[in-house]
Amino acid sequence: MTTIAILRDGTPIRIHLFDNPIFDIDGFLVGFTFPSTTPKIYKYRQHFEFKAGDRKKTNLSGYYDEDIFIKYVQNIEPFPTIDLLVKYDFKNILATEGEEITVSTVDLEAPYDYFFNYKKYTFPLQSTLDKKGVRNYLKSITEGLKTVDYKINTDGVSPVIVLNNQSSTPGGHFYKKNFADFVNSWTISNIQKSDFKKIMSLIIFKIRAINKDIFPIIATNTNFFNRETDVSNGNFDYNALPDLEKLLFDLKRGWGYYYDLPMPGFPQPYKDDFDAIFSSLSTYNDYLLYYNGLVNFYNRCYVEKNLAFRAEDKKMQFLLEILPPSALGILPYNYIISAIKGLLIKELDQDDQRFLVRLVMSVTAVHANHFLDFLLEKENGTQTNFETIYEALTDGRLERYSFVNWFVDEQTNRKYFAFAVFQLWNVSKYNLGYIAPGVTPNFAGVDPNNYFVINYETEFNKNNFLDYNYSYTDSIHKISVLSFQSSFEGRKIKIDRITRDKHDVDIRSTYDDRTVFFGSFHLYQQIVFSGFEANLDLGIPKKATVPAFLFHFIEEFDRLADFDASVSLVIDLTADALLAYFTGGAGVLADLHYLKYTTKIGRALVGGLEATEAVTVWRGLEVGSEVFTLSAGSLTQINTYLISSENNEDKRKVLVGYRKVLIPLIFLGAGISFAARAHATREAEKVLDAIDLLPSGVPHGLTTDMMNLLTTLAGNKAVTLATFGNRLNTLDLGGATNTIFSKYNTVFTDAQKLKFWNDFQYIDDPVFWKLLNSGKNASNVLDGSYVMNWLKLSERSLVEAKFTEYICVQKRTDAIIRFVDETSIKPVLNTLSNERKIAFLDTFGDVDTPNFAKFVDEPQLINKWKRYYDDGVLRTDFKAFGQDKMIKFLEKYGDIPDEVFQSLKVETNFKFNRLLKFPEATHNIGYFNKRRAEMLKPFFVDSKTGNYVRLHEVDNYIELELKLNKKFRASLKHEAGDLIDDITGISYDTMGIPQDVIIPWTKNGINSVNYWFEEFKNSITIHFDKINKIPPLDYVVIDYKYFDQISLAVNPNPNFLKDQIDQFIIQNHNQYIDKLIKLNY
Amino acid sequence: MASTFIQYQNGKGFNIAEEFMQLMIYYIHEELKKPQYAFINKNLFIMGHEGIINGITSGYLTLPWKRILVSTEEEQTMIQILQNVKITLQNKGAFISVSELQSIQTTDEDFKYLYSRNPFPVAELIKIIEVLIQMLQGTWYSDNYDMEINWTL
Repeated sequence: MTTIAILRDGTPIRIHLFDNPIFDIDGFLVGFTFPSTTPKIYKYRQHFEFKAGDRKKTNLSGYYDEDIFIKYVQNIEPFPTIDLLVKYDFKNILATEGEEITVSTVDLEAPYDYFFNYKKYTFPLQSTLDKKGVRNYLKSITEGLKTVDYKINTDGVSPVIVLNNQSSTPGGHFYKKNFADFVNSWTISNIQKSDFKKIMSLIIFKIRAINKDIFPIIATNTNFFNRETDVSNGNFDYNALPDLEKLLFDLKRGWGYYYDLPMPGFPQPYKDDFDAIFSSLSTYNDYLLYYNGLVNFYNRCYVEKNLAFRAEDKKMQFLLEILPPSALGILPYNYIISAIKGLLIKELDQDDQRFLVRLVMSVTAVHANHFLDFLLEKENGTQTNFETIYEALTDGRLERYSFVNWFVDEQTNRKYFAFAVFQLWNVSKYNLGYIAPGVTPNFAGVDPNNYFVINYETEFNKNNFLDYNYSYTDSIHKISVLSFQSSFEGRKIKIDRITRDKHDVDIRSTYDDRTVFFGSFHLYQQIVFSGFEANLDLGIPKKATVPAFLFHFIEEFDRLADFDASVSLVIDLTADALLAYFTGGAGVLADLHYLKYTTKIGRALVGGLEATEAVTVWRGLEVGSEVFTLSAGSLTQINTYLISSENNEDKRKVLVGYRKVLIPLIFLGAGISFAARAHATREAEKVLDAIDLLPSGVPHGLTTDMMNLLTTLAGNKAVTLATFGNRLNTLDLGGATNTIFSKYNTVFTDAQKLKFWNDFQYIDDPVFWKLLNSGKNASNVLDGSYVMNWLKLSERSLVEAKFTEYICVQKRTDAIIRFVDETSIKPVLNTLSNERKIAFLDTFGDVDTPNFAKFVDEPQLINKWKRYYDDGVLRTDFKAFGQDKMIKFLEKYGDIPDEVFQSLKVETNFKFNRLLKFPEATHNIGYFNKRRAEMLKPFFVDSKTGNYVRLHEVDNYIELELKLNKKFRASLKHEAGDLIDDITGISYDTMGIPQDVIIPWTKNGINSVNYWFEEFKNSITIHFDKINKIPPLDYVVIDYKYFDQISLAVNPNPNFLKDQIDQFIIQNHNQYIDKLIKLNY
Repeated sequence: MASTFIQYQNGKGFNIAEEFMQLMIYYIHEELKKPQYAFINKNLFIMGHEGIINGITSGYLTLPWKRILVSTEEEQTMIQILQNVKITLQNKGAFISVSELQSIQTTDEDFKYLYSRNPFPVAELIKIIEVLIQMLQGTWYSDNYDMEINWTL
């Protein structure tokens, strides 16, 4: 453990006097315990953690006695004032120049689906430039001119990666489910992935802190900790848990604490799986919000005075108000109402809004009537609760795409509120179409208890038919309904009708728009309308009637839709999203629907443009090439045609294909480039192919415009390929034969040509083209082999196809093909960085068949190789092994514990070779390999000489451990025997012979065997004699291995010497027979 | 790890790490193999000592002299050898150099490694010789003496 640490202000200090130092993810010291008769815990506190009134003081951040700080923030009497909070003074333990420090940070780099490794930087502290003290190690992380974060300055120091696999911990399960399972499908930069990995790591560490510090507080005076295991195992009924314990259980379950690998045939519903919080569609902001929620949760609970000792319902209420929205599904109804009331009296920020909506969503049908009534009440005395909530959610509209996963889909807060209430209304006493279970309808077929049946005369407005198509002509006007507008009016929705009066005077027409009161409707009364088409985005069921409040929402949404769409476009229309779509993430398409409003082609498709307006749907790939336009009317017609139903299966294929052409065309309208073009071209060809395949007599049914579009797209591909081919044919190759064009023109399919174009269209450098052209055959004749290498890698969808360091190095191309063609290897190989991948392929690309089979059988050998290769200290000696030894070494010692791995950095070459000298283990192979490595120095040392333990003795020890199912340590200098069992204190002394003495024992036949056997027996006596000496030995251990082979040199009976040993012991040491342990007997 | 008990007769002797005794036997054997020393079982000496030096007995090393020496005269010869070894060692100075240690012919790689770093103090070997002489003379009485060697890798 390091004895030097860096404070949050960058000052290096000595921490040898502190216990339990705690470091944050970046390696800063954030806490420690000062040992004394009453140990004091100090934690780093930031400025904002102090009371608002005290924050005007400067320089508050520092390390404070936690006990006093808690009393300060919780106002525990007599609570300390700010003056009594004194920072820990480190001035007497400042580190000095030259002292070595190891900074340990969380490794946030690849592999991103792995949680997690440490990155350790070890370096001597340096002095300041003026040599007046040790330097400060705080380094700012800036974006532009703004400092956004700090890190420890480790510039110029190479880190050592220390493995710390946590995949089987709750945090590991959570990481996998909420990030690792899909991060590799994201086409974002590695820097962005590292950002995600960091926030994900912070989330997990915060969850652990909550579990460690907060749950014990909340669970005080409950049976939660006694019951949770039983509940997760199915031995205690989940539904019998009190609400608070249910809440804790569900939170922990969602954080992976109960997860266990499902066992076939033994379903355990609470352990086999848990719900993900994030998905592949989640954004960084989603993660950040969740993290902030956890931090708030932790902080609010941590500083809450006496939370532990409150009654269960009070605790619940407190939690309700601060709980992250994701945890609300389990809440009892009365708490929800209380919580909503609590929110109604304050101004709601975005977090509160989401919380409020989530609360409403959690109301179940059982409470529908009560909840709808509650919404009609006026908590603030002036507005209905409905209107108060509705208005409070206005700003949520702008964040509609930022918390996709927290809601069912990308709804606005207000929209989701309206729909949630609508769901409740559907099964309420206010819906005339709903008959409660067990109720007999009246003569009109409605529920006699319906609110509007009972209050028909006073509450039901019979004039509830809104006709959008309504128009009439009087003597001088043609009066048409333009729209209806609505607004709140207490418990009612007031609806105005907007009409346009057209006056025809001579040959001119003038217009006069008028707003006329149409009627007031109870929020929950159904209204009927015709001729109104709701905004397509709302996607609500097209019903003839909707309650007035929902009409209000739909009408308002329609007015604001365009505004929303443009905002959304800025937020979400990214190349990454499109790329995800084109690489199979069809779900992304749902996020792009607003393109219908923002692109010209999109608006044309939904009939939003004048029919005669020309719409550019295609531009050729090269500058100056063809521009193709269609009339907006044609596009509307196409869309109408496409959304009509078609029963003929073959024709339906054509329509579906055509839709796939239009989607990328919409993207083109938004300025997206190649991916969309290629996609449109490809799909157009497919549609034309599908038309060719239509059965005889089945017309394709496409309009002339539609066919023109298809043939244009397909034709553009041909133009593109021909143009590019022409360019290839005229490359400056220094007079060499042009093999590139030859392969392009005669070998590639059209699809391959397009891919080739895509990969290399922007490269003008003649050096590149000359290199690509320079592939030769065995006879040293140019043969286009590098171009063919591109084809081979491209066909395998390998990005390496684009890099000359692969395709222009034959053995690398061969190597990568060899490895990626093995399905077991490809995913592991792809986790390597480019530099590592090349190093790996250069090392093992031509490995012989038996060794290659080892990679196929155990692809993790690649990561094991990376582990050693990545280590700057071990790499040189490791590489010097060569292929065979390296593989053999990795098979045995690739996954040794980290502590042992680190120990190999001393006397590396000697240890490597020593480990390879062990004979092949014949049983418990994994244990043998692990322990053999663990029994190297410094863990096992000959206490008298300081030397390594001899190889055969190590194996004796391991055999003994296996036989007794124990782990031993090496005896110290003045302890008995070779090994000590630390639990019992029992000592063991082993003896045996190594394999390489068989020859010297037997080389002179019976004479030499007799001589050495006599020596062995003498040694047996010496070993047994140790039992009576000081310190007394407890057990003599004899390993009989190899005595059978030696026996056969002098006797046909392989047990000859074994029997002789037994006989010798019985005759001479029978009193110790129960102190003897036999190995390999 | 092996520590052994070196005895000549009557269970009297001392405890020592096998590798130190290996080194001691090497220097004794260098003297003993000279032609002027006659033993009836000199071939056993050669086999036993060379076996020890080559690490064959690692884990079960014992001193084989009692079964090799056949008479009081041979014991006296052995004492003389030990005295000569002592003089030889003393002539080397305070330490045996690493290069000399590395020149020792042995197939025991652990032995080679052990003596690859630090010179070995002559006085520690002399200490052992003194006790061996006493054991041969019958004047060594301890049966559990720990021969502490002031040297480590």
